Amino acid sequence: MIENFILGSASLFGDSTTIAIFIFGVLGGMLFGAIPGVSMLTLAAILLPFTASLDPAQGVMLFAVIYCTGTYGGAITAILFNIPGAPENAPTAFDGYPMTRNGQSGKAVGAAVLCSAIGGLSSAIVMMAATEPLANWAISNIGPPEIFALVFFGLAVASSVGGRTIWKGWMSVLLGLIVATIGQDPVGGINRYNFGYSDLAAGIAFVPAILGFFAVSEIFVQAEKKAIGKYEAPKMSVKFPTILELWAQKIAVVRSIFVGFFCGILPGIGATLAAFMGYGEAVRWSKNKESFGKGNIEGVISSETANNAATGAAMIPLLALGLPGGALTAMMVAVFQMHDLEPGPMVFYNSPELIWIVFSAMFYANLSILFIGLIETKTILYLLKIPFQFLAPMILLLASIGSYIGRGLVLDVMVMFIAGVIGFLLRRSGYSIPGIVLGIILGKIGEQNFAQGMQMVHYDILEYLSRPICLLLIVAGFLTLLIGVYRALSYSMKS
Amino acid sequence: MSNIRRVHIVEAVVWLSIVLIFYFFSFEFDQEIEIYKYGATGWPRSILILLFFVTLGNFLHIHKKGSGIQLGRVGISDEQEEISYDDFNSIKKLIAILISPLIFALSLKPVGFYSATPFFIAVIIFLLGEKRIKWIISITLFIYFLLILLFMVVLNAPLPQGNVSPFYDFSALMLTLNTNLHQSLNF
Amino acid sequence: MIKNNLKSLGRISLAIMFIISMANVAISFECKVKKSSMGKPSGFPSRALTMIVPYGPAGGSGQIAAAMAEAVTSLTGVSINRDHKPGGSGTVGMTAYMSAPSDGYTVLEHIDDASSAHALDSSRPNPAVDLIPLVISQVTFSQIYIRTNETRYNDWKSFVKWVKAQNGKSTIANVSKEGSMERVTMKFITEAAGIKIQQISFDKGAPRYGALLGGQVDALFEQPGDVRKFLDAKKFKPILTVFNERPGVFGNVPTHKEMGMNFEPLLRFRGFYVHANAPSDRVKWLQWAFQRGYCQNSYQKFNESKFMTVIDSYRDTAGARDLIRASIIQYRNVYKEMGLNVK
Repeated sequence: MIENFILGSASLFGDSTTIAIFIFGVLGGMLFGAIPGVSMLTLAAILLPFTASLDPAQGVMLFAVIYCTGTYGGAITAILFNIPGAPENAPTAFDGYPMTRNGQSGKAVGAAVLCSAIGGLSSAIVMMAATEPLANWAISNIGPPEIFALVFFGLAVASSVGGRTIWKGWMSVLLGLIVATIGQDPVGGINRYNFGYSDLAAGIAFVPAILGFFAVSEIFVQAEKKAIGKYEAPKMSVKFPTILELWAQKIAVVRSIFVGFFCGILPGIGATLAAFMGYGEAVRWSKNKESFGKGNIEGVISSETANNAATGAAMIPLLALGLPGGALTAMMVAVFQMHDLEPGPMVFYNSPELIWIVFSAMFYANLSILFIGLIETKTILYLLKIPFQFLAPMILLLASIGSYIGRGLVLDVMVMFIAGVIGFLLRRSGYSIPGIVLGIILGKIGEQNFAQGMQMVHYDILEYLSRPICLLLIVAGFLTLLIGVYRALSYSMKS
Repeated sequence: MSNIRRVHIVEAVVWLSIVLIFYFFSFEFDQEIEIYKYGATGWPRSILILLFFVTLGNFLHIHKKGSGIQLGRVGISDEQEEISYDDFNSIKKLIAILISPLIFALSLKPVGFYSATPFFIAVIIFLLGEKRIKWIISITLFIYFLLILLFMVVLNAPLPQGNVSPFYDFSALMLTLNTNLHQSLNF
Repeated sequence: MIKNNLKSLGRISLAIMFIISMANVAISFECKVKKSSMGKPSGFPSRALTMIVPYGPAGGSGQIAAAMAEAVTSLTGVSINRDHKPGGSGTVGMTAYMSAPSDGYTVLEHIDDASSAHALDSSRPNPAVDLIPLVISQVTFSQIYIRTNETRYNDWKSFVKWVKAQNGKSTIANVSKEGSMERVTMKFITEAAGIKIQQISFDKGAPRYGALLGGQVDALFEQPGDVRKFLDAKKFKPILTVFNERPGVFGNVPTHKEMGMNFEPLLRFRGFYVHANAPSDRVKWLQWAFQRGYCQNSYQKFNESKFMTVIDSYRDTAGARDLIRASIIQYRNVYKEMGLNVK
């Protein structure tokens, strides 16, 4: 492995074009991740046609690097503006944004930089060692029944932590799930809820939903304050956390690495669930549960470690089996195919040098988060100084382009602005906006895998539960649910 | 003693009407799928039934225990500050801010990105309280050219071109200029 | 071998005649468009073309769009921006295309789904009438695959026997949409072979192939180009070809007719279109560019890598219209038989 890694590094840094592409990917991912309104997905979607003119290793490497640094960059906007750059950064905003409001933005960003790097690096190392054997395990042990069970567990966790009460948590998730049923059903392709508008057959995509609920609604909230003369520019701080503060969180980091890696390895779910689970576990094990959501640095650390730990893991099913885990890895499949390559078991035999250039590039990309991340962050912090009336149209337009580019549908821009209005109205009502978004993201995956799982076990629940991983996850999901209901019922006694 | 206030009743009615409307429209696609027992309606209807019970649970919860924050909940802002509107003008302004992006989105199909964008930028800047005409014009042009430079010239992103004359012709002109620029630069 | 196959082509029905008569040509490739350059009609195109692709960039349509765009650009110097509008089994991209200005600057990639959609509901655009096919550049057939290391069965006959013994509890991975080429063909097969098998729908390729690879399902219905990597890696093997002949590279795989199933195979085809009312001089130039693009080395290499040269994949405008019309008639008959509401 070390030998291959050295060879990969040598090819990466032995060619000036490859170095230039690497640097472009590192900076581009961070920048697009960190500019509110657009995300690494926007950059990736736009760059896709251009990769045809690169050689295959360069193209795939570029996307892998954008994936690593963009996942980190999305944390910056989550912390500074309450606008997660990608779904996997949503939980980072839970505590990161309150920290900014408390004047601790530097601390939150510093923690995000370090933890993204640690999470990413450790996952890159495991990825290099374990891609082949782990992929082979997953492919025969994780099928649609297991993926549905995992989605169920993920939704149970999300609904039991977000929202003012467990009821509102579930109402949010269920709203997301029902929105996800708009479009064609995953089994028969039958149009559902298109209300006579033919573009709705394409369904509601998650990129416009997340941009609307987070970016646009945040702009509306600030605009409202501006309209009634209550607007205050966010406080800036470049005070980074001390080593001691970070060392105190070592257990949270290690826990999130495991959670992030495990979730990231599963096709179709990946980093988003990783971040939510990492955050949820941090709350679960904390003695000081009430401090979460109010600016607890452990929240930022857990979420950011987990989502970056998922980046390396997501490459495992992609490279070893050709199964992408999320939107960005799906685009990587397209990069492979543009070059007459197919990600999958054969890549290891046909082009090992490509694999190792990509692996080593991801390693260095995570490493560079540590160095460039801090410098870049200081620059990004100055965005906060631009007067709001000039920043707002810029963010709205970038978000419009960001949601349009993915599928080329004006519908998506509409959906984004409608989600923005809904998010604005729901803000103060105690519903969980990340819960709605997770419902939208996991709804389609959940329904499809439920249907496939049921078809596989011939609608026999006992046969379904005889699959050990399913049993474990379904039981865990129900326990999470019951504990949540119990807490809700017993809470009057406390207050 | 009940903690129910009028706002909670309105809230419950809104949620229950979402359930009802979606349930009602599910009859539009209530058809069998040969290879799948639960058909196209099984999943959405189950969610709606769950949503119905959870809404009732929420209502009863508020009735018994009020609408405070349950312990150990995360991801919701603590911000309980009441926003109050002193005058009708600020409400009008807020509504305009909420609606103008929707109008912009609606205009993208017929008018296209290239023609609609400068107006949208200027309107938003104005609505957010900037009254100096010079600033509005110069910042609008600055943002517009920045976006055109990045997305059209550098990245060649396929943005909506509109399909109504003269807007479509303007988009076509922009794209032709872009092609000429690329050719002269040998891009 | 190839010659033997070609000799028996005469037996097949009118609907399939086109494919086969062209197959002769395909096997020894010869470019049908002689002109290697063509003047631009009054400066058209003076800017980049937009190609609407109603599917994502990673699937079969995304790949053929990329390959054809590259071929046309290298031939003419005109760049083509691909605008992917996935969703609704191709209907969303089609709707967007129909509302785009018909000045020839916007072209469309589409597959046989456009024909079957029109067959089911005639208010949907008819690709042979409402559009002008510039070229159809991929025509392919379907197969049934099993894992190479499968021990319970190893060919079609033993598979059928095993499926019958499972009493409806065996599974095959397939594509979702009701009335799609995949589902109609599976219906033909199960009825003709007298088997009951649970079809499990996967709308994305990767999980569909993963399901067979990981042993989650017992078999897979697919076209050979899409699973080439698994065939080359010896992970999958075909046990049945749904085509009237044994294509050369799959010479040891029996066809459905040889296995006693007497139905006309439905084909998957992908091609490029322009609005029917686009200016005719521009249409001529586009026809030349796309048909000649098919002859470009890069495109031929691409088609070869997708098993698209094992039967004839090329139709010019007239040939494409024939293929589309024949498909629409065939689908409409099948849908009526199935009791679907044909509008």
